[in-house]
Amino acid sequence: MTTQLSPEQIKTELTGIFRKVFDDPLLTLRDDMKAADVEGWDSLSHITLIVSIERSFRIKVTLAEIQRLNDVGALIQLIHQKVH
Amino acid sequence: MSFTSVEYIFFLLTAVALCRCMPRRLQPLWILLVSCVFYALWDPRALIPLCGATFLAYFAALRIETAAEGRARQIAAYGSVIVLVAVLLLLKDLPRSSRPFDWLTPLGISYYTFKLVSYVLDVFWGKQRAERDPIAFASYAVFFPQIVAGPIQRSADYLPQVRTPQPFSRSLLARGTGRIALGLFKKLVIADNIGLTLNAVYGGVHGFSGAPLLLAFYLFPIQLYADFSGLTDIAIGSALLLGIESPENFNHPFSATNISEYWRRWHMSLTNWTVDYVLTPLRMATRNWNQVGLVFSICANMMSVALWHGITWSFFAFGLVHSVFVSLDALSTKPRKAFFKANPSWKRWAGWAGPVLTFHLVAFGMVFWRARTVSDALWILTRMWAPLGALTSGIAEFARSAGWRSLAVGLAAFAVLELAEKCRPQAPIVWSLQSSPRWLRWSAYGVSSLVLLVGLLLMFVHGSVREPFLYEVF
Repeated sequence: MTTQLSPEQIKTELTGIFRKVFDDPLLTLRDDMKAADVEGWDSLSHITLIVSIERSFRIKVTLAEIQRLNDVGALIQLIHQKVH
Repeated sequence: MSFTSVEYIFFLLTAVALCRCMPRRLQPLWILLVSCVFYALWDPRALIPLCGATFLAYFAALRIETAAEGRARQIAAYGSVIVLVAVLLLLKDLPRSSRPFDWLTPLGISYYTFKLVSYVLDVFWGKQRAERDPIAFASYAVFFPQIVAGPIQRSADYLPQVRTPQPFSRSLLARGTGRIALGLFKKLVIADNIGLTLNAVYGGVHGFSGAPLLLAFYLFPIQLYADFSGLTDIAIGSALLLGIESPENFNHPFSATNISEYWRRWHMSLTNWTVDYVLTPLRMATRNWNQVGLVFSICANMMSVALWHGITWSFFAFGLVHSVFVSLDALSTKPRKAFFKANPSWKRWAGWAGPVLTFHLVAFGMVFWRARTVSDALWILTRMWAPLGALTSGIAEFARSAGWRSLAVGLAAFAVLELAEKCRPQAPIVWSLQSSPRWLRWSAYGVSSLVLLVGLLLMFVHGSVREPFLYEVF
């Protein structure tokens, strides 16, 4: 994974991860999307999602960072900070 | 002072009336004072661990925020959390004879400890700022509507509200009193009436077989739901009258289509708490162990929920049963989703069968929750089976001997409540009332006042035979 990803590129990559984790090939991400907006996004699948993100972007996310995430926009921002 | 006592109603009315008469800047101080009085009326000595825990969390959070380096922050956060949890275990779970003081378990110690632990960790994780105002913060820990049995409100939700409580209005009054009346109805009419019958069975299970045990199996979940959600309704209504919105604790748990969904609908403020502060940290720590980490985290989380009720073999069995159920549910999520995708016609059946199966799993687990020992629970589960004919006559015979009237009243009231919930329009009734003609509005107020008056009179009459709330002891 390149370290020069733009937020839009991250969003595209992230959409693929979301579609795979939540088994929904039509899922489209919005910045203000929260767990309640995606079927099956609960506390357990959230960690599965984080593990997939860590592997795909080759980053490490901490517990405190996870606790501060409010929506997909915050997740994209976090990945953006980590890959740069 | 129980929530169903007349003393509590007068205490609440006085607290609310005086709170609403004073300037807004003094209201947090008033809420703190009346909460301390409420608590001291139970046992003034119990204020010592409560004040100690509050001071510890307050200063630990300030230290976390001001400390420059990571180690000092970690010591303040983890050190204070360890002390808070150790005091909880010491005063709640240690046998009375082994405790340093001959104290009863302080009222609501679990609930204020959970609130304070979540506050310290939220500041540590940077989810919220440390609170500077000691009065607002202390009122968070001791807030009397929530101290008996929750709901466990997060500080980020409570603190802005206590600084500027909602102004008093007819709508707030109607919502608050309506919620309290609903809670009293659930507790006094449904839970206590069903409880009368069930106490006879659970008081000596080895004297029964067949129908009475089967009734106990099916009815206890309803009794516990009415009892605990009734207690929560009174707490939420009382807090509303003081201008504070509390989180919900129940969301139609018996309509859940699987066991994981049930836990997202039952005692929600506790399950959300354990998800954030037990399950998620464990799952993060074990995220590279794949399915083993998943099952380990679920089991540890469910056992902590179960053993929080008390360190007994019955609660251990309750935790074990739910650990197995929730783990199997989590492990089968993907295959089930794939199956329903390939066979969409089965989805309709699953929507119908899911709640029925889930209710049976919940009732199975609750036998261990309610029975005094594991042996009693196993007796119920193995001896409740009987041929259909014997079952029908057995139920009739048992209902006659245990008093069928109370059971019929409790079940009929539960049916009415469920029906009313189903028929209730999306908009709350008080909003529709406010736009109704004056005669209708005042008729509704008149009828509600009459119902409340009759309820109060009933509380006077039945005051001496009151059944305690099942969740008051935790």
